[in-house]
Amino acid sequence: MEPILEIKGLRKSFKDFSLKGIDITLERGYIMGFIGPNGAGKTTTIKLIMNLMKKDGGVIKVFGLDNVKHELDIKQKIGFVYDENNYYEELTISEMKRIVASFYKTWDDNAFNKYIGEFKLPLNKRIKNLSKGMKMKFSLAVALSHDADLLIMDEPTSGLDPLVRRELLEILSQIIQDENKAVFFSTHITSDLEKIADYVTLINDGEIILSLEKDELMNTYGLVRGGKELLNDVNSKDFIDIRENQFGFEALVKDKNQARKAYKDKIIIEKPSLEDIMLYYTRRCRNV
Amino acid sequence: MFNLIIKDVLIQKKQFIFGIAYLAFVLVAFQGMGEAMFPMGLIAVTYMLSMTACAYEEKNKSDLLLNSLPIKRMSIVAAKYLSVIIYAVMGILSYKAMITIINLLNIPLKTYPLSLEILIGSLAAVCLMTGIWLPIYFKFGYMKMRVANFVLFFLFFFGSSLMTQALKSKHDSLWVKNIISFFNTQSNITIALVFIVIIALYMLLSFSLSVWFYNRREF
Repeated sequence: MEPILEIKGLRKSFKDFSLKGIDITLERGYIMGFIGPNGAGKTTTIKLIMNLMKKDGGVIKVFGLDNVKHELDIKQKIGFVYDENNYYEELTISEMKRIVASFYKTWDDNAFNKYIGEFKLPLNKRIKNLSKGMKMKFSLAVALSHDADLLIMDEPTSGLDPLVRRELLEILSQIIQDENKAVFFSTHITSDLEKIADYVTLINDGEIILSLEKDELMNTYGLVRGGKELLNDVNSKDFIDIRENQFGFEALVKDKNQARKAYKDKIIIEKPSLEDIMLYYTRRCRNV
Repeated sequence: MFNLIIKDVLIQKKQFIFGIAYLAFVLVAFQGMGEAMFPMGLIAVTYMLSMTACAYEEKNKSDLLLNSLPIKRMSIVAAKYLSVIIYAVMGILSYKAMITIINLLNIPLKTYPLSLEILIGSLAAVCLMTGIWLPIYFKFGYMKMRVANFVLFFLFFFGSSLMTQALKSKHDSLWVKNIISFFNTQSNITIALVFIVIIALYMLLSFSLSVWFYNRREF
């Protein structure tokens, strides 16, 4: 079966930023976290997938189909949640639902009502009077009510309190119980992904730095600490980036077993968080 | 597409009430204008409603939403054109209703029945205006369209008086004579038909331009 989302050599240039031929593959049944600092190209990539922007080159296939040629068919099966509310603030939830529902062939009112009940959303309240968390939940309810196979989310958790964020993550893990579905989730709050992502793709300055299974990433990478005296002996190629401090250094290594072999008990190795991995990689790019 | 028009109506419920109130105001305050009060009121109301609809799109950044839904960009454009016609029809109907009420209740106000010429003329004026500013909206968005509208507004006023003067000064030239003799020799129906065809072609051109622009927009 073809991947649910396949991006190859995707390019897009702006005056001060460009996406430099990125590749991403996501299979059905998985959640992919798309991480990177602000301005790295996450939103641009998502806009290109949704055909909100025109690509300069490369291929985007969703459900095995070209995203521009089969735009409408593909969008029938995509649920989207963006970082800001883009629904009409002047309308009530039920008015907005009626309008959005009319565009989906497989809209399921029962599913929508179920989510509205679960999220405790007031149907007759205007969208402008909803809290940020409620607006996100409304977007999510819409995204989940037309039997979408691919959920595309652009920073859905930004600006939300931990409670709502946790709720969202729980819903996503429920959705993914269906092996035909997949979630593509961009965020810079990496701790969210440590809980639910199966794959992690890191983008920085328009380039994909890594795209790996999360467990593999967390198990092979290591956060290394060592004394200052070691700094003269280490081969900087062994490390992704080194951060010096008053007492010694801290660095990220790609293969912690190799580092253990090479430096034995001169170093202490810890498990890095996704945030550590992101920070070391993006800082290295800046230093280069 | 029909739902996009309903959306445009729903988001500006208050403006509709204001629009009707404005038409009533025109009926009372511009008694001296005679028949011309209707085109003036209709243009003002449709202009206000369609501008407000576009302003709400900008405010809510709805281009992102609409273009993420399974909707053709051409349908989004078509809905905007059709909604202007809906506003005009609603304006005409409320004006008609007001005239009927005034006559029924013998309210001491002068009313002017809507003649076909006035009706076609008013709709043509609405189309003329919409046909220029919608392509600008679909190319540049609401904020830039407002600036362009300001310029167009003055061009329209000064342009029309300049054109009248130019026509007057050249009223001996052959092509002006030809046009005048064409209008003099044709029946009213033919003139109205020619007029409608020209306006329809103009709107088709404007619509195609808007679709062309909007298909190239990035959000």
